Amino acid sequence: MHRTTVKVADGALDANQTIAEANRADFDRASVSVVNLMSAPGAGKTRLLERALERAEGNRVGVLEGDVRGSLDADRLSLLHVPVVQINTDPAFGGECHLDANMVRSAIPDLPLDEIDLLVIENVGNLVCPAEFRVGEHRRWMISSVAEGEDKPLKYPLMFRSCELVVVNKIDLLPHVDFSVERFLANLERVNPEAETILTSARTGEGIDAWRERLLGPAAAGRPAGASA
Amino acid sequence: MAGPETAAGPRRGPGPDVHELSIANEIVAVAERTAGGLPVAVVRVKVGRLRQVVPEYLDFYFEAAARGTVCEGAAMEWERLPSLLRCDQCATEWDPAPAPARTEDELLVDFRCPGCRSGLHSVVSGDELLVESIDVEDPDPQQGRGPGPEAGRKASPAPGKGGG
Ligand SMILES: Nc1nc2c(ncn2[C@@H]2O[C@H](COP(=O)(O)OP(=O)(O)O)[C@@H](O)[C@H]2O)c(=O)[nH]1
Ligand SMILES: [Mg+2]
Ligand SMILES: [Zn+2]
Repeated sequence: MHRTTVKVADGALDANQTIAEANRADFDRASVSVVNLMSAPGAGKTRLLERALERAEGNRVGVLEGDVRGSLDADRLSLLHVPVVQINTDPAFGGECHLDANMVRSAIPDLPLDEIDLLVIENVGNLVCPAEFRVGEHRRWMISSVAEGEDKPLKYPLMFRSCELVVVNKIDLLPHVDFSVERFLANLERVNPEAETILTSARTGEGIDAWRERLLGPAAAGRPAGASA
Repeated sequence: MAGPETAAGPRRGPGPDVHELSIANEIVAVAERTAGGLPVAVVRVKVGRLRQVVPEYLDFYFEAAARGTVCEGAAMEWERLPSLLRCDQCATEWDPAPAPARTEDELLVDFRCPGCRSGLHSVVSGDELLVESIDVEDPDPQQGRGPGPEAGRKASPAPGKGGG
């Protein structure tokens, strides 16, 4: 036997990146803007989407649901009459902890890209893997709830650094938890000085208009329920 | 809670989290593509300190990911690359997340330039997650049957030279 060293110098995630770029080209061709929405489990991704989409009349929005708890979230969102496609993450071998570019690729034929202008991908609840695997998104956003602790940006710097918007959710719980918004924002600023932030409570509705406007544009925000403008 | 405490800080141990397993799978796939069917003895990986990948856990999951592939039984050698940023405004270079001197010390993470406080910077080092090289077991180097056709597409080894 003879041992030969072969130089590789490939990124470990190059294969995923290639597929992500193909996905993005498909989205661009269909003029669909794609948001990759990430968070720890239970931070409020689905609830915040519901709050934004309950007044999304006239907006052509679709959701790709990657969260792993069955099709519960997809069922909740489809009540809002937006097209929702559930992704099947491979339950064997690490497939459950994040979406990768290939899973999104396999869902593209099921997505009504011609009927939507915005696609929100609800990633699997996890602050680690989704930071590494791009899926073809244009924008990377995350939700951090006040129940999670103010040191999260320092513990997951790659995730917080890779997002341009951080939504701080569940601010209705502030009186009950040991969380200083000021210290959280200072920690975020140390990791991602350019990050934009919105404070929300999906429960009380505080900040929801700003969140909806950020997601859907000014026309959709602040519109009274039931108004048709 | 979702994942482990990583990158800028220590964490407990391989548990329910499978982050390093999914990365290990990708590393095995890169090595397989390169090996051209030959058994792989060593896989060398470079991990920048800005990645949320803990190389010690990569070791642990690499063994599992390699099972049933040409990488089965291969050793993984990893190198940790330091984190270093360069300010786009004033060219100051600094380490945004130096390892604390003692584990109980507070993490001193700062991605804002210590010189001019600008938030715009380029990463000089620390973002790497690379398969640097692999060692394959070549059964018959004299006949020039080195690694398969895909192997060495970036840099060819010199099969047969140097004995072994
Ligand atoms: N108190 C409070 N609970 C919330 C808020 N947003 C979401 N929740 C609750 O948190 C739980 C998880 O929310 P969900 O949207 O399913 O989280 P996801 O896993 O990120 O999709 C649910 O019980 C929600 O009702 C909020 O702003 N305040
Ligand atoms: Mg959800
Ligand atoms: Zn500077």
